[in-house]
Amino acid sequence: MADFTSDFWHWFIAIVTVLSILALFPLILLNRGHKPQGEVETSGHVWDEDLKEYNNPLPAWWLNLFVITLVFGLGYLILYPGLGSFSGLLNWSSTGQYEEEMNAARERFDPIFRQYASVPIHERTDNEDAMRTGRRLFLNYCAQCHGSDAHGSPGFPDLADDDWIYGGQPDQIYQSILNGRVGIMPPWETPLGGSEGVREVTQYVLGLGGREHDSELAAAGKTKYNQLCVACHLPDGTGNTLLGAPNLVDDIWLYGGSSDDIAHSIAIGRNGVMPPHEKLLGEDRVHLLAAYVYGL
Amino acid sequence: MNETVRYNDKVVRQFAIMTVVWGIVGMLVGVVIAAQLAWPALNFDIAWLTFGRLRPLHTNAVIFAFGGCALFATSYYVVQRTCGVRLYSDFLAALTFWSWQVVIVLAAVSLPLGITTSKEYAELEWPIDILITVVWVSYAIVFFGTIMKRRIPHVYVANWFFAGFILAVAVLHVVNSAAMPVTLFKSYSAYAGVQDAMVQWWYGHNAVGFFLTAGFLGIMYYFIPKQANRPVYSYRLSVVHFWALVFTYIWAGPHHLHYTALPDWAQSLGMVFSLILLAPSWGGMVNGIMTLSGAWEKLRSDPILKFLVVSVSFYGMSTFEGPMMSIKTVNALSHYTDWTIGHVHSGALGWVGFISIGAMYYLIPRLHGRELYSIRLADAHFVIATIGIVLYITAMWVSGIMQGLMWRAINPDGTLTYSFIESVQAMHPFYIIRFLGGLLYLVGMLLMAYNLARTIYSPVPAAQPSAAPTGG
Repeated sequence: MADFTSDFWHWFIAIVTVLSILALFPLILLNRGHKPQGEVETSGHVWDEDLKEYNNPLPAWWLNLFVITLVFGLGYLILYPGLGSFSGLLNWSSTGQYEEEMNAARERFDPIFRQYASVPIHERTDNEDAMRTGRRLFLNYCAQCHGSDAHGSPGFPDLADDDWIYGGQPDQIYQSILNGRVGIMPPWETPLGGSEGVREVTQYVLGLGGREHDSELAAAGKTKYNQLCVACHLPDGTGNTLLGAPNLVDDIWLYGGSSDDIAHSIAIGRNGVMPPHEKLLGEDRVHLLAAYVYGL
Repeated sequence: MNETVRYNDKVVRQFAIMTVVWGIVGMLVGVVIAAQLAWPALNFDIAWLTFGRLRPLHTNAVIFAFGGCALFATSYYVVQRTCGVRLYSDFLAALTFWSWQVVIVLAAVSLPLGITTSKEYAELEWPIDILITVVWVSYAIVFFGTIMKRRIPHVYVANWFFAGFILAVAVLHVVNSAAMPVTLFKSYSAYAGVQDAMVQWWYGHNAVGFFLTAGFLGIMYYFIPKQANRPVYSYRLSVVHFWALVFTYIWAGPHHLHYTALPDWAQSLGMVFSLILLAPSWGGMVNGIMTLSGAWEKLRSDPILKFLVVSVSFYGMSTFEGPMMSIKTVNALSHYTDWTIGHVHSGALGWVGFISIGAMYYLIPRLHGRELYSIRLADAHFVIATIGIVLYITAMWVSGIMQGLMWRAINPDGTLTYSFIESVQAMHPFYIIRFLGGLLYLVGMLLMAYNLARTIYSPVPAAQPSAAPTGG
């Protein structure tokens, strides 16, 4: 077995273990004692005035129980891995058991998902059975971040509304789940010339969305926005799903929409990661999940 | 023979009182975190009061503060009386008392602050670990010094168990706590990865095996025959099960790491030796219960004996449950569920708690030369605490097995039938029952504190003062 650096450890473990179990036999069998004729006597020692001990033999049922566990132990170590690198007569291993169970599960369940995946995502939403299965996948793999109602939480997008950072078409959702997404808003405090610049751009962004703002600061912010932000968020602030640049004028805010939250996003930046699920779930299950999310 | 001996009972009195005090504190924290699990808002969004910080405080307080003080008190009391001599060193004995209290207070401050090594039951950071080592070495010197100068040639069985416990805990603590300090409040374990996990559970399981089992068997072997006024059932059995127990326990740790990165061979050895551990464990139960044969009627009227005997019954039950849960296929269901919590508490509340409570009801009146203030209150304590335990462990059995079954239930399409949060919702009623069970147990402890306080402050000395003269 690969986890031993030399044969020494194999023999060390095997010999010490077997001798240890074997040593327990004489310990209990040589000391079992015999039922005396008549009354059982005490050992003859007295402590603390009246503490004594009878010398009863070991109870037979107790000895039997002990021997049964010892024999079982030896038998188990012959059949299963335990004695160093000896893998046991049954050749069982926990990795082997895992592979076996996973293969059986794949054989049984994969056809169901392959069949679901044969129908395009946007048509799949009509099938109630498929959607129930999709919902269960969602609850186990997605709900931790996006919530069991799919409404998300700060930093984790709402999937039940019509606003999509990377696009809401079936294939775009499928891509988001299959390959994941990495959304990076870089920190802008230094390029903007410090906190004053951050405040100005924040006011301009508030104004873009038609919200109350300080027009003087916003005017200064506009120049900076048009230099630094416009490439991803576009001049009108509607964003770009190709880049995952959020829409700034729809009043839906992934990291909060207060002026403090917006200033934080600009100054320090944000990092959003949707992990890829291809290895974990496979294409067919991702297909079904995409259909479920699309149908929300 | 001991007319001339004046025992050091001052340190016993101190540890006995603190057993009751820390018992109440530790169990109160337990009740608080049980309530938090049922009603999470009870952490009030204060970091120091969150479950993750109070839980280690609870385990450390009940194991090392409550259980530790009970072990110090009883072992100091028993070793003097069964050796017929005063403690080897009054100074070191006093040092163990005061230093142990400092350890407990440091734990009670550092754990809520979030200072932790993250090793279960060994969360305390390295400066406290060093202090524990100092206490333990002093304890060993006092205990073995007393054994060395004994006037009775044979070493009483209770002392073997105390001795085994003291030696093993010393080794376990030093090896598992080995770490590289970074700052005063932070260290890194000397081990990495799966080796670290293995060392941790070698320690963790033997904290149960030696601290909570061997040590408390020492208590059992003195107080049951004393209170029942009967000889111990079998000297042979005590010898055989002692050696079998201490030899086998040390192997059992890997059963905490079934189906993990730990190599299969180590998992198998952990399981096999856990099963072999059944008979050695039960040897103590047999000896405890059979000692009463011929004196069963005393169980009707004597609350102390009730605590002691029911304690041994819970010991038998949890030492059957433990080997069963160590079987890989059973563990696949039970691991990470509340079943484990229930198992631990049948041992902690039933075995460790009851034997300590029985010993304190025995000790504290004697140490102060008083009669117990109220037998009826002690009886009420017994009934309330027993109901508490039953509520606690049955709730956790049901909740744990249900959790395990819900987690593995799958639909015809292979998806999980229940999301995690559904299993959490299903546990909620059982969390409330568990909270009530723990609350009852705590109420029992408060009754005991009241009863023992009235005993100590009673103006009337006992009609028959303790046979041995007390001193210190």
